[in-house]
Formats: sequence, structure tokens, C-alpha cells
Amino acid sequence: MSALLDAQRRFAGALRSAQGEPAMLPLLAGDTERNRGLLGVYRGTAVANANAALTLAYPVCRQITGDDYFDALARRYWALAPSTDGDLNRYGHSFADFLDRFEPVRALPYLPDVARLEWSVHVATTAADAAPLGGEAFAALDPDALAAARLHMTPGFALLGSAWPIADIWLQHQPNAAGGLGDALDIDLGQAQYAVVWRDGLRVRVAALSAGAHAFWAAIALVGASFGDAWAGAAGTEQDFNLAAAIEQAITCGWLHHIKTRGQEQ
Amino acid sequence: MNKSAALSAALASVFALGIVASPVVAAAEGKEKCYGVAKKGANDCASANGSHSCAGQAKADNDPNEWVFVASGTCEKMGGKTAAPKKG
Amino acid sequence: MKSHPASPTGIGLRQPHYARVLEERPHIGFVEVHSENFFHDGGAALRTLERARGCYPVSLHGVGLALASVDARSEAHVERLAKLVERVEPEFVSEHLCWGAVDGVHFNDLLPFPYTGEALALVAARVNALQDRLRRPVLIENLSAYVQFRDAQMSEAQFLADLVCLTGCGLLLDLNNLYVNARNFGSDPMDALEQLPMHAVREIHLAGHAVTEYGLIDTHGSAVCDDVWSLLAAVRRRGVCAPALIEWDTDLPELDVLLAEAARADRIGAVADESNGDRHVCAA
Repeated sequence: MSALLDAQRRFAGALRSAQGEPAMLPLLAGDTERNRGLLGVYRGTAVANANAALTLAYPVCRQITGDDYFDALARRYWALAPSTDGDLNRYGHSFADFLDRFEPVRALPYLPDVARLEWSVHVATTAADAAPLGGEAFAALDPDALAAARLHMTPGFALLGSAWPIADIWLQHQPNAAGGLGDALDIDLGQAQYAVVWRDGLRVRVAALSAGAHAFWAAIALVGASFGDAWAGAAGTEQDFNLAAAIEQAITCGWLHHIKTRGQEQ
Repeated sequence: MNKSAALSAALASVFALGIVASPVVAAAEGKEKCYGVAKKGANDCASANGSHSCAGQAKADNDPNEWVFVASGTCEKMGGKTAAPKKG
Repeated sequence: MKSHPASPTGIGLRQPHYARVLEERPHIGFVEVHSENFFHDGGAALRTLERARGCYPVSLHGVGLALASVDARSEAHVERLAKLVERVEPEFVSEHLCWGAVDGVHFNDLLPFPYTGEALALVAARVNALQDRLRRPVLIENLSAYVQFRDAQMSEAQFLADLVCLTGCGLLLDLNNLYVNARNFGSDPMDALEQLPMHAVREIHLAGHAVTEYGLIDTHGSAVCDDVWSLLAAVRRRGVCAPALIEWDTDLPELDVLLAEAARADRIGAVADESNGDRHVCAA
């Protein structure tokens, strides 16, 4: 093996855990005890950089757990799923899955889904800029063409379903939330909720969605269903599903990017 | 109302919106400065070592085997209604 | 001997200062950002950088390429950098002389390695490939290292001098890193300066460090110390006109503090008449 690769593997072992230090120390010049401390500084930096990146991606989770608990979560997560990319902005995509499996988090059962929502927000923050579709695009279609058409969403658009009120939790933890964070939060933890994430210009927005609207947009955005099929699914999910209101919200909020009619799908 | 009639009615309601609906984003973007929205970069810590605001601590000990941490953030403010939701 | 101004000093542009820099447009030579913070398809941060580019030359300073990693898997990273370079047309593109990833794990830190012939061949090949892909020279920065390797065959300065000869890359001379290493390893920072090819220096970094029980740690979290200012004067006396940059990443102060540091750097002019005494000539 290359001497350089060997040195880097030993160094990596000492960064992952103090148990890796004995294999690394013989490679270093100078006083062993001092080098042991310095490897600790490097190890601390690696953990702390990952923690700082996780904090930027999951600010609401950090507020919910408090700093000490989140720091400890970040350390456990790093031990199991360290960064694999030279860009720390990409670190943390599997944090929600880790929280799902991490026993102590069972006391905060909504936390994994809040983390899922935050990752969607994080991704939307840096999604491509795109001009949203205006209502005139619909006026150009006849009813048959619209029923068969497929809608495409703007970059950053995401949908989440949860047994917990994740949209309310997220919204009430924003710095500009009505009422602020000083008072008791007005969240009914007994309520399941669908959430939608989208880019409003450069800002990322989150809102709660009805079951019908979620079914409609999930069919369109995730399944690639036609407009008519998506409507049928939504109407089956929610008897009073209001298609016009859903389309108006989508256009006003800028969720729609373009429409492909049947001939354009090829 | 059969299904295709219901679909026709729903589609008609969309056309009734006409071209009145339009994205409100464009207007908002003019008012909103990009630098007022931009978040801190995750990679700024990676250029320095052992920093306070980035690292929290310069020296890391090993992860304690026991989980001794108690969540003490806003989870307490969400307390009171912590019963698991009814699953459908 | 006549003193003349070096290229105007820049500052590291960080998020808390975005608004003031873009609204007040202070008189600075350029701004520097960490490349990876803008590896995006869109969004507010990228838009902000493009706005800054409209007001100042931009330097893209990479922290994640980890050029000396044997097991790097960095093709996607290089492509993202190339896309960003195309987008902002920066004045400088720089990276660190370090490793950072092995066996699929990235430590997102600037890690030292033994300065050997094997490492030199690897880093030279990586720098050449990077320059070919970006179709421009890159600058390589000397590192703050807290440990040294028994098997090192040369000093970091010798390594960099050879790298310049093998690749034609420029140097980003970080005087705080040079100072931190000299203090931690008990050497004279002037010795390292003597070994470095001054003609290749295209940019100079100035930053603060912390004094800890483990020695000096490069925190980028305080003002430039007097000894490092003296090193800047020494570099200027060697005729190096390359612009300096005030680098501050943690415990970020008000913008005015950075601007005052930049103004102080501007007052240390280069000396034109004294030949730089650069004895470095690449072997044919």
C-alpha cells in the first residue's frame, strides 16, 4: 500500500475515535503526549464542523431539543454517518432516518418528521431559480387537453405527510413567527398534517395542506399523473376537494413551472 | 353526477379562474434583497480550526456510552399534549 | 529605496456582512468567499455573490477539494467548482495544501500529510488536472499544521517550491499559518519565507489565531498579531505586490474592524528597488 494512503487511513482512524490514536502516534514527530492532545484538537474540529453544518440545516430541531441534546445527537449521528462530501452544505441528508432509529428520540416522536421537513427546506433554499407559470397557460388549453396534461413543479417544491403537525411546528419556530417563541406554542400535537415546501422567489415557504390537496399534488409531482387522474385521486381522498382553489393557490404561490400537453410528452 | 361530468365541472372551475391568477413572486422579489435572505454558508468553519462559534469546543472527548441528555428546548413548550396521535 | 503600494487589500465576505458590503460598497480591493458555499443551482446566496461580483473582483477560496487525499473521489466537486468559476469569473481560484478524505469519509478539515516524493507527485498531478479543467492557474495555500510526520522528506516550503515548478501554480501565502507553524514547531518563520518562491505569490492571507494549551491554533477569530504584520512587511520588502486578504471566520466582528485591518495592510507598501532576492529557479 502507498505510504501516503496508509498515513491517511491511520490519521482517519484517530479522527473517528480516540481508539485510533495508538496506530497514528508512531507516524508523528515530537512528543507523544502532546501529539495525542493535538489529535484530539483535530478530532474535535471534525465533529464540530459536522455539528455546525447540521445546525444550519436543522435549526428547528435544535430549538426543540436544546443545544446540549442536539450537540450530542450530532456527535452520535457523525459517528454513524460521517460526511462523504467536500461541501458541508450536503451533510445531514439522512439525519431524519437516524432519528427514527435512535431510541432516546422516542420521547420526541415528532422530531424525525420535523427533520424531514427541514431537509426539504434546506434543499429548496439552494434549488435552481425558475420563473413560475402564470394562469394564462391554462387559458390556452381546452378541457380535454387539460385533463390529459402533466404539470411540472418549480425546483424546490416538496410534499411531506406526517402523523404530527409538522407544518405548525416549523412555522411557530421561525424567528418572525406570530407571537414569537417567548410564549407557550399553540400546537396540537394530536393533529396529523401534510406540509408543502416551495421557493417563493429567494425565500422558502412552508404551509399545511389538506388531504385532498396533498393527494392531488403528490400524484402530479411524485407520480407524474395526468391532471385528470390526479383530480380523480384527490376527489376520492377528500369529498369536497376544490380543484379551482388548489390551482389558484399553486399559481399564486408559484408552484407551477410548466405544463406539458399530450403531444409534448413524447 | 358521474365521474366525467364531475371532472368537466372541476375543469370548468379552473378555466373560470381564467388568466386572473398570476404568481405574486415576481413582485415580492423586487422588494426582497437577496442578501437579506441568504443563509450562512456551511463551509466557513472548514477553513479554521478549534474555533468557538463554529466548533463550540476545540477538543472532543469520546462520545459517552450512556445517553445522559435531556431535551430542554422548545419541546417543553409543546408539552401537555404529548399523547401519541390516533392512528387511522 | 522607494516604497510603492501593493495591490489593494481584500476581505473575506461572510453572511453577516453581506448587506453592509453590498449597500455601502466600502473601498476594498476584492472579496473572497469559500467556493463550496456557492456550489448551488440557485438561491439567495448565489444571487448575493453575483451581486458582489458586480461591485468587486471575487476570489474563490476552496476548502473541500483536499488535493492530497489519495482516495479523493473529487470529480463531482471539481465539476461544481468549474461551473462556479464559469459563473463568477473570479480573479483568483485557490485551494489548500492538505488532504481531507479517505475511504469515502470526508473530514471537512484541512489535514496535514507527510511531505514526501510520493505526495508531491500526487498533488502535482491533481493541481495539473485542476488547472487543465478550469483552464486557468490556481493558487495553493500553505497550511496551519499542528502535527509533523517522522517520514517527511522535505519542508512544506520546499514542497510548495517544487509544486510551483511542476505545475506553474501560484501561491497563496498565508502568513498567519506560516507563523503558527513556526511557533508550534520551534522554527523561524523567516526560514520558511526564504524557502518559498516569492515570484509565485499571487495572494497573501492575514488572520488571527488563538493561544491554547496545545500551542497556537488557527481560528481566524481575532485580529492579526504584531508578529504577522512584521512578516507582511518582510514579504513586501521582497518586492511582493500581491494583494493581502483579511480572513475572519469565527467570532466575526463588525465590518469596520475588518476594514480597519485591511487599511492597515494597505499602509505596508511594497519596496520596489530592492530586488526580491528570490533565488528560486525551476530546473529545466
